[in-house]
Amino acid sequence: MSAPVIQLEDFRKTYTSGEVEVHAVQGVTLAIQPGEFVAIMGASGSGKSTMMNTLGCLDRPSSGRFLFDGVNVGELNRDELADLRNRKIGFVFQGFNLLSRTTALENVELPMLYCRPGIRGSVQRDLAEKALALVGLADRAEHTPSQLSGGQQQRVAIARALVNQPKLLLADEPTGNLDSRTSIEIMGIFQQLNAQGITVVMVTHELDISRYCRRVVVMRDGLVRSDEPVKDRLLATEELATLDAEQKAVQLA
Amino acid sequence: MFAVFKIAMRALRRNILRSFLTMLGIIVGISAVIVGVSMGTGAKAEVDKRIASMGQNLLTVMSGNMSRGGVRGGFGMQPNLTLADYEAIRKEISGITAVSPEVRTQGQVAAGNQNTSVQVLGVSAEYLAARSWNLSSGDNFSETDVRNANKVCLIGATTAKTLFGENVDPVSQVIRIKGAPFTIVGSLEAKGSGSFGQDQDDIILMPYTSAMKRLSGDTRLRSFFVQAATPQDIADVQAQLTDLLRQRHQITEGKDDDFMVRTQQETSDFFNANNRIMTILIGFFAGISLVVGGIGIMNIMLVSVTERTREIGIRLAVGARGRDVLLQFLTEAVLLSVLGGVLGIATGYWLAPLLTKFAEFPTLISNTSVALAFTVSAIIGIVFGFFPALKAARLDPIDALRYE
Repeated sequence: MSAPVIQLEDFRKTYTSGEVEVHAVQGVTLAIQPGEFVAIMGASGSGKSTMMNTLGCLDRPSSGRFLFDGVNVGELNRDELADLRNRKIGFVFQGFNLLSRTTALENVELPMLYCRPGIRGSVQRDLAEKALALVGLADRAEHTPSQLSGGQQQRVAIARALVNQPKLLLADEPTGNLDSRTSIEIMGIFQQLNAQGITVVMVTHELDISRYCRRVVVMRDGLVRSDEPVKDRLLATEELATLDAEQKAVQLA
Repeated sequence: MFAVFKIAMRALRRNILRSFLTMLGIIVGISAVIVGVSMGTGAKAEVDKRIASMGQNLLTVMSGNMSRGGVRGGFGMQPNLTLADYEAIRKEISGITAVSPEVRTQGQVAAGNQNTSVQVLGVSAEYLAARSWNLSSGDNFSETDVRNANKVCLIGATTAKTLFGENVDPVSQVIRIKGAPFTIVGSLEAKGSGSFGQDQDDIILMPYTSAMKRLSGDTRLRSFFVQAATPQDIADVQAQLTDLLRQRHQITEGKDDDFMVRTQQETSDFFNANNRIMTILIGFFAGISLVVGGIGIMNIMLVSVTERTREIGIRLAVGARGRDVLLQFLTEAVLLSVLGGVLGIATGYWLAPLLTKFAEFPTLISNTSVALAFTVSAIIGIVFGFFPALKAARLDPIDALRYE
């Protein structure tokens, strides 16, 4: 087995809010191998957002070790963290977080603006177009987010996350703002990308969404309560077919 | 870099009214700088022109820098220059083309039933040539006239008009100056107003000997007028004059001169000192306006950073370093101030001629002031844009992403 993408060893995170110390995560040891598709679940306050920020290299552990692709993140400075996010991590957020009044294509080009060494404009455009095609939005490249549906916006966000060919795709409640059918479509895209070998980690609190993943980590009060593979894994393609059949039946009835 | 510029340009276009209002402070400040400096340069050019109209390469020797009992008199107060000094200058100073005493006296002049009070200037025969002053009719008085203190004179255009009316040739007419009859031998061309703004044509010139003997009764002189041969000779002539007069006046080593030798350059510097004060004053107010404009930019940039916290969060999340964000907001601020600067320069170009036209104030826009204004506006953008940009760059990505 190759080296894990993510390796947490007794990871702890403590915030001070006012004079109160909040122990958001209190000792998590976890390894995620390349090619995995992991859902991190838990109620609010369980520490899953903190996990997410740390796995995304937006934040550093208070104590314990966090190795990302073999690199000790705790020892990196702000700029090195930024470079790591740029090259190795793709983010997908619940609120999409696209730049408004900026076309889909330019949103996808955004991470490439910060590549070092820089990428030529024409190459950026090519890569962004390819990424958009991958999520099925080649014909919406010049649309701004306000001209796109929620599902389409989330696809643009996924294309943006993919464009630098990251080691890890990190999704924070990616279906939180979407209806159930669109949610399944988005999960379908994740499954498809995972099948191509991309490591996906997502945070969700929806049980049925987690069943599209391969492994579910449940957190409560800053600790991992269970960590097991998904039985009866759902496939988005099949679910969509079932949904279509049901709709047809309703219409016939 | 081009991408950064493009992003900044788009951000400014998004809020075009706000961008323009922000620029307004800089526009006002920069146009004030342009107009103010153009007034200074214009006034200086005017003074230089007038000084030059007095003649080329001139020096003035003035008497009376003398302190008596600790009280220092002003120059020209104590007439301690002598005719012997004048003769010595004529003989011993090299590199000069003309030298003349200047005997000034004011007198009532009458011709027929007309009379007027006029400045009478006693000079040598070389005076006219040194001041490149031509005669419209008649001839200059001669060396013989000077030697014999003959009652002859030259008449200025304004004085001639007052006494004889227009289009009358005054040559060979006799006028009475302080009661004494003088024959007009030449009529001077009009010269216009001088460096003090006075009418240079309301004047009567005559041999200095005549002026001293027949009008003022003076035996001593207050000033000499010396013309150096070339501009390069001026400094040397100044030194020679100083040495000669110190020697003649028996001023020992370490004592102050009892006279002053002033070059034309020094005279123009003297007048330009006033202009400089005016320029500094306008520059000061323009500077205040620029600072206010800069604060406006800082204010709007701070608002912009707050409004776009989420955007900054996204950029940081996808891998922008702090300095990328810093550069982005700094570029925006500099673009604002430089655009304001360019518009301000354009406004200045438009305002300065209007000022000349309606207020009749001479203006001259120099390339230096335009370059200066441009540089200053860029610096304002950097200085006042830096703090908001730094604030943006230091945002925590997690907080910025959560910002509503």
